[in-house]
Amino acid sequence: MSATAAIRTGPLLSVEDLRVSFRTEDGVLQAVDGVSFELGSGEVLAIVGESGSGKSVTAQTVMGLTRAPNSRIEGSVRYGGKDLNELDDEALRRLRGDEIAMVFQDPMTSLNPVYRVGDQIVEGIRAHRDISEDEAWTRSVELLRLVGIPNPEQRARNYPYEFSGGMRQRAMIAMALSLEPEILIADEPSTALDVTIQAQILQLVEELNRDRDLAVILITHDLGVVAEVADRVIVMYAGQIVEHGTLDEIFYDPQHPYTWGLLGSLTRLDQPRPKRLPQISGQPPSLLAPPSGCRFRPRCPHAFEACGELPPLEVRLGAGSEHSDRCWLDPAEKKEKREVEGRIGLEVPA
Amino acid sequence: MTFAIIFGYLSAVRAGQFTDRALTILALIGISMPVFWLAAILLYYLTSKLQLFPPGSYVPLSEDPLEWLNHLILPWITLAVLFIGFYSRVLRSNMLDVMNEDYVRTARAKGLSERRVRIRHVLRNSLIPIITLFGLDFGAVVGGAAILTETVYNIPGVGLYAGEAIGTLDLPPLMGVTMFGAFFIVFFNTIVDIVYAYLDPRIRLGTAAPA
Repeated sequence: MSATAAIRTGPLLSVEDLRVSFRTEDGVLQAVDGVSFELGSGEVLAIVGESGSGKSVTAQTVMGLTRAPNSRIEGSVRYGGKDLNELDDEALRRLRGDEIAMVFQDPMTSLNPVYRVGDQIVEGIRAHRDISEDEAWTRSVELLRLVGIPNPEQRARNYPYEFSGGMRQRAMIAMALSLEPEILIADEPSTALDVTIQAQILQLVEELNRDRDLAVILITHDLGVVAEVADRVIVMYAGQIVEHGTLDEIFYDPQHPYTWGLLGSLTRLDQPRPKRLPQISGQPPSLLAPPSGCRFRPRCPHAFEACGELPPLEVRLGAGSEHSDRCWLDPAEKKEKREVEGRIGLEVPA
Repeated sequence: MTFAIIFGYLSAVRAGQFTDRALTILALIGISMPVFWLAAILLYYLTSKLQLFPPGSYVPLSEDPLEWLNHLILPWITLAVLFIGFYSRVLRSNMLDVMNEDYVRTARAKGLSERRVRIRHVLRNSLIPIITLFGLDFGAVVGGAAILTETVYNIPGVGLYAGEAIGTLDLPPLMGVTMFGAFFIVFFNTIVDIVYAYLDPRIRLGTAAPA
């Protein structure tokens, strides 16, 4: 959380009104619908939301990984004075891995099973730097050591199937760090791992952020993870940002009912155990035909007439605040409505 | 085999585009074409009409290697057409499957060129099922499954031998041919297994793999 100073020097990455849609057999699927945010250097930005909220697509679009014949990308992703959406494939390729690197959700399937782990790191390095195979190999061994793989000289010669899940994710992180990128995009890096390994991976990400001033976009649906490492948080729902604020703002003064629901559904060890875990009832909306008005309206117990119209994402807490949200409710009203059994929540569990 | 890989690769890379459609049609024609018909047509046009190749029969390799080659080109083409069509279809669908794998996305995210991604990461993983088929088919062809081709071109091969034996209800040679075919299928399977281990390290034995 050292980033407040760095943010002021201007954003490293700025995403503006990003829209991504895919043509599918069932119609046009609007996966990301007008997302804007900025990432300062050395900052950890968390994007949270349930499955299908568009968080992964947002992240992959930053890397240009959603380019396909059936996808349509609008808006801009500005990095280092360039709009990444307008770069040709070759220019984008040079950026990938070198300046912006990505770690994916499932380490079990993200490494190619037929090549040695070391070779896969070497391959990434040599795609960008003109160095010898041996040098790149030495470098990848160092990287594996850095991410905490014991015995890296031998381990680099192993194939992915000889690695455990946590080690594979470490190897993925080593690969992502191999060219000292400015930005690391971590797409649910700990989701597929068990809890103790999760903590280790997050710790690793946090250390890298602290020691190397690496900017991180952390995509997750786990608010516990967010609380550990994030500086700022974006909450996404149905392809849109519904709330955007600092970690403290989101956790202690959440403005959007969906955020209340997310926070309410966390189990808390410091409070008596609820009879039934609270949940957000209903299903996430279909992105083929999103609900009119506020997208959360069909699931929101606090919806009223105004919600028939889509609330813009704006600061509603008065001047001086940068905490924005998409909910028509008055901030004072929100304070009252989000109190459920002495904590923040959406509604009393049935 | 080489053509099959090139065609399948092109077809997968240009999936949905014109090249892919054209190759699909070619492959389907290749698969559907009856071997005896294709052989007869080739014989008629390329040997009788154009006189490019000698008609039928066979010259042993030990007598005249060039003539041997010259006599075998047509039968080879005939056999290959079927297999090219078949393998390129299988390779195409395999490659399209593999392209959706997470590690291919990782490879792209590393900033590898599209070509490198396709050849190193997609093609190699797609070849494994092809190798299986190839081993079986090759064994079968050597072991006498080329009976139609051999008959039309009048090559004194195992297939023709078996064909004649069937015609005269001569059982012992048939049993011999069957054994011979079985031997080659097993033999090529072994070779396929060895190639597997090269292509996919997970298949290598010896050290116990952790789950």
